Amino acid sequence: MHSIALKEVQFKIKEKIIIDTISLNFSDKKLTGIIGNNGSGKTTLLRLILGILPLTSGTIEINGQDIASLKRKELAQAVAFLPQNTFSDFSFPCEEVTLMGRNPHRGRFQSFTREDYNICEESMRLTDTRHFKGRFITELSGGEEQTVFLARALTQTPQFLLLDEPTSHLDIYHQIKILELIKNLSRDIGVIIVLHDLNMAARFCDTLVLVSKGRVVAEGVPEEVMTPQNIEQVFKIRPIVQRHPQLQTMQLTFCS
Amino acid sequence: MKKYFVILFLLFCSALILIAATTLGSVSIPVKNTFWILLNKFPFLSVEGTWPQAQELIITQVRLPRVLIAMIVGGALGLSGAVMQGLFRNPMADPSIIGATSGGALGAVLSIYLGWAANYFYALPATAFLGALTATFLVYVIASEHGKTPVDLLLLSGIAVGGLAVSLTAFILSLALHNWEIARQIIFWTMGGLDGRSWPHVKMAYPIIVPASCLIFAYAQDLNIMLFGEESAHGLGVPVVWTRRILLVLTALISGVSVSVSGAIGFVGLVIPHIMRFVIGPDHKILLPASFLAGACFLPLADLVCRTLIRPEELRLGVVTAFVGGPFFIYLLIKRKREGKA
Repeated sequence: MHSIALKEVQFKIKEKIIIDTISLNFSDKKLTGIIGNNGSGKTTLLRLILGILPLTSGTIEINGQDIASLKRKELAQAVAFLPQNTFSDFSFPCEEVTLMGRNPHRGRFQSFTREDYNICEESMRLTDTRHFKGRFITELSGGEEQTVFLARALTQTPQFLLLDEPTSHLDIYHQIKILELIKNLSRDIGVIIVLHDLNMAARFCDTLVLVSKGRVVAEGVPEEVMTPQNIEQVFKIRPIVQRHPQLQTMQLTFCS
Repeated sequence: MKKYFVILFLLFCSALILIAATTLGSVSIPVKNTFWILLNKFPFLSVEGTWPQAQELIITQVRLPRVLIAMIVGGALGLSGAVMQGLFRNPMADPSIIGATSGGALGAVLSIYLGWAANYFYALPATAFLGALTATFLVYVIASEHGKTPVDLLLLSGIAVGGLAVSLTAFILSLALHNWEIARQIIFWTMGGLDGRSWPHVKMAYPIIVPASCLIFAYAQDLNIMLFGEESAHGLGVPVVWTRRILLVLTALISGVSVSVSGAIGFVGLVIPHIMRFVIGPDHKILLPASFLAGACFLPLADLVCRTLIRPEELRLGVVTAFVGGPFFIYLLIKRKREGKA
């Protein structure tokens, strides 16, 4: 059983508090959505888990081990990350991009093994990107590109996958396609996803964490978190909460 | 496969150029003799042949060290250009444009002026390295914000730091003018050239540049990953900040040592990696060795032009590379403007 535990995590830039004493547990085989208004600290939370930003106080543990004691590569073996802006303006073939996911598992002077190529092949199969082989990443559309980066993250064979708004630039077809893919992946690994689209978050996530001003406002299943009161408190706008006519998931609409 | 062919082709070219550049010159020596003399110099190989003693002397004592220096300097400049362009995710970066070369020249000039260079053999490369390192770091610190290095800031801070180094060099030169020997040496650095380079210089440059370059090659995959952005590289287990620092120090080292043996030679680091990237793509695993080899092919050729074009006078090497590189840089800027990227 893999886990990520945040214990009284605090993060300040100079004297400004960005994350204010958050304690959270993320467990295996679950799709956890982090939602909240702009500047609430969603992305910062992911960066703290990845060790990109230093904690001001508190600890973050992965499988009971403090991330501060892990090397970058050790951390990358356990946690894969798909940031909001990944540049793709250099013409690498898609399979090369995917293979970069093996980087945390191999030393500077080691070359790729049969196993590395097999893992790469398998993650391309899972993400349905095998037909991009031989094409350059620069030739793909935004949505196609994102599936290749997802394949690369899977090639890391991580225990947890962290995603920062992976669907923000995509059309509705690719949004749903990517989120369904991520949902399938969460049967095997823990997934933490920052999402802006509340309806998508309610539809796909097993649990939601609602953050505002660096604090957790609510956490639990979508039905508990997406109450009109919670949403209004964070987003300053009152929603109408309904059930999706077919899927029965929580759906929000706004009047003003 | 095509990519490895390019490497083999460049290796073959550099061998050809080694022979061509040692054969051609003010004294004409038959290619056959050059070939046997060079082969004879390899360890464990001794060739039975006859050639005039004077020809062997010209080749082994005059031309060979000069060509070897041209090769290692060209390789180092090509490689450091490729690394800097990858590191800054910016095709305009190169050791001369971001001020490393001028910084290195300033360091070298300082140690000539203060007499250190005359007393200690390693003082010149050491001060050139420190000068290059300081300039690179200044430019990096000025131009970077939040881990990104915008094109305009990079070019501007490179111009500013490079200009400062050049004016300090000119200041030292003006102080040195009462001693013509020192002033002459200083002018040599600022123009860049390989005349009078001999075996001691080869023995100084190779043991530093070859291992440092091999170490840089080992960072090829990290550079590839960093092209996709800093956060993405973090997620793939690359310690971005440290990787960047290590690579900056290594490129400052090889371009600084290059400057210390050849003077300031501009644009090689800009032009060579560009052409290589156009031919073989952005993969640093191939791009880095290819840029090294292409630089090692280009500079001896440029030096050959210097030696032979206006005989018996010699052109300055830095002048020739700037003549090729300057228009190429302008062409790049125009191309970027057309693409709406500048």
